[in-house]
Amino acid sequence: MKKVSVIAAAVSSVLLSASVSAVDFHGYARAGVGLSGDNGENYSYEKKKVGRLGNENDLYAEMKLTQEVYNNNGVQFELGSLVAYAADGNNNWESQQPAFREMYVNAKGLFEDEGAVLWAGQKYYQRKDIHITDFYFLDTSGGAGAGIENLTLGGGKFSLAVMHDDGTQNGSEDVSGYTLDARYAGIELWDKANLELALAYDYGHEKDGQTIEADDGVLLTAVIGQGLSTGFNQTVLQFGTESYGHQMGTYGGGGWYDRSGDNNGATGFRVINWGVVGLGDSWELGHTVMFASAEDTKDGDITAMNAVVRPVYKWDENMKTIFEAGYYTEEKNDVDGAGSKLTVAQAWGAGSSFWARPEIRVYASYLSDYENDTAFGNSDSEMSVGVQMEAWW
Amino acid sequence: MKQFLIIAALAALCGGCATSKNIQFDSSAEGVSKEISDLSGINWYKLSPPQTISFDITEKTQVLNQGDEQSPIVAFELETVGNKVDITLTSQIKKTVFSPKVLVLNGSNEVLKEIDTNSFIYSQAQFLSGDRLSHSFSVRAQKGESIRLLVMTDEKAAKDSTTVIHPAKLDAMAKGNYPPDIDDPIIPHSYYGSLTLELVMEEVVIEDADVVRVNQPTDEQIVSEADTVRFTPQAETQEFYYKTIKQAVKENNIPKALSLLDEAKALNIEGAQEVFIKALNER
Repeated sequence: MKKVSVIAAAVSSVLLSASVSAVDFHGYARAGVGLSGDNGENYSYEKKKVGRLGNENDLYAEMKLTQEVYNNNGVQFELGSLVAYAADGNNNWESQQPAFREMYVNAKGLFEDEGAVLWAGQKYYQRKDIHITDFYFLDTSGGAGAGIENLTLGGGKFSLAVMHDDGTQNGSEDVSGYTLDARYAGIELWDKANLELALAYDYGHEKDGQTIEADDGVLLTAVIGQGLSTGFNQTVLQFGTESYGHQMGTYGGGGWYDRSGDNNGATGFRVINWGVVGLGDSWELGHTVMFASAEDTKDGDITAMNAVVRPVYKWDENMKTIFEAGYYTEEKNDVDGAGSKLTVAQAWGAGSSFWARPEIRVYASYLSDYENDTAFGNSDSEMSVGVQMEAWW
Repeated sequence: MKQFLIIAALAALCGGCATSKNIQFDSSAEGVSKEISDLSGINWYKLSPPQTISFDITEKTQVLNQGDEQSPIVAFELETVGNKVDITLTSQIKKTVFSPKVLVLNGSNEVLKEIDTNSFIYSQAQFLSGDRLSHSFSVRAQKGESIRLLVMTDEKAAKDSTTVIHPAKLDAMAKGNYPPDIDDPIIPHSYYGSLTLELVMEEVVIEDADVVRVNQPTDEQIVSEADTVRFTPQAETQEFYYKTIKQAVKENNIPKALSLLDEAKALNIEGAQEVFIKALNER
């Protein structure tokens, strides 16, 4: 609690002393109020699978401060930090969980290749996400690490990093794990299309006298980006082994490698297509579609699919009506799961773009579960209404 | 039912969105000609800093036609009272953007300074400010002179374009994600647009200096007490300067004291020099 107010004070004092140093202030925040028909506050149901609009009931914020601390002869050092905190947002004073998720230094201009960045510390590492489902399909961010990013090599940019990714086995025994992450981006394909390849390798480092249960895993990712005249589209192909294989079937992204050893011998793959396009002057459409399959995981064989669409109608610069429809189905360990969500929202935002924030929305959502009759208390369907704000800057 | 009422109540609350105060420069008003060929025909809009106004340049805006160069123009006259005024002009980037250049003129329409379109730098969207082109500069008029600003564009700039950062990349940067490798939108320039002019003036004690916010598109002069201060300083102004000069000297802040002394002289305040010297001697 105290940590958060101290940080807030630090942030505001930094902002007020604007002329002293050029601190960049970025961040993200969402919070809202809502209620559901029979289950108290508004529900949040499988948002990675059916979409997040009108499907969030928490308060989450990140405050990021970065500053260039050195700039001489083409060499620049930038210091970055990020504090995140998550709370229910249901009472004025809650015990919150602030976390220092980033604390790093980026150094540019140290090599002949001026765009290459040498970094060390802890940071979100080149995460890739699908906004409408808050699903990070590639997120190997671990604990602290170090690496070099965007080194020009051939026709593309190469990045290599190593980060802590500790885990536990046999209950509470600590295992030192590391993620090795290599990327090669900017491979030009056809007109307005490019390719990025990523390889993640998770390695468990045995201590003297320790036997590591979980096998090291490999995650391969290929992202084909296609620019369109009014938007863009990405197709993602991924293949993972061992614990990464399990993550392919369970909406994982490459972080928090499971070290229990229960996924040894597993393999999994998935195909995702997502994007945002403009349709005429007044409509924009965001979508995501995924098919995944994994075998021999700790949850047996898994097949999972989902599809979410978010059409947006823009009334003017600031007001829009947003619809979101999502559906998922999966089979995990011979147990079927399926559900859907329909949401309609009226939103007022700073600008008319799909990405314009801050935004305040009034929404109504209808949630259904097709396999579990008591997914929502005593029923297999539920409705929520509420108001939410989302901002990033 | 409960849920419906709650939605209705929340929608009603959200409905009262404030619209920003805006000026429309309408050349179809009386006594104003739509097209003029030299500066003498310009309709100067009077402003009193400190003040911030937003205005649109549309088909209705007065056009300056100087043969090979034609441009819609917006003309302001600033009451500066001999003080330094910091000026920031921002042009909003939407589907198109007005690429401005500014001529700073004195009361006799002589050009003192020209700020060309290349000085207006692109800033990306952050907080509630959208993508914009902006530039800041300062002016200080001679005592008794007024400062005039002429906002216009030129043909070369109007044919050009600005590349803005794709909003999906801003989203990624804000959340610490990797910006997607997609093309940035190219925004064409236009003869029309939405701009904001912000005027900041150093603190001066002027009696009743409540600045009247512009909220009507009329040609009436904005009433402000600043007019009367120009040549005869008020007693309170004089007191203020004596007091702050003494205070500055007492704090050993001689540069500040000297700058206050300059201001006082510019405002025709007598005896400021004597006060300064006396304070120095008393240290």
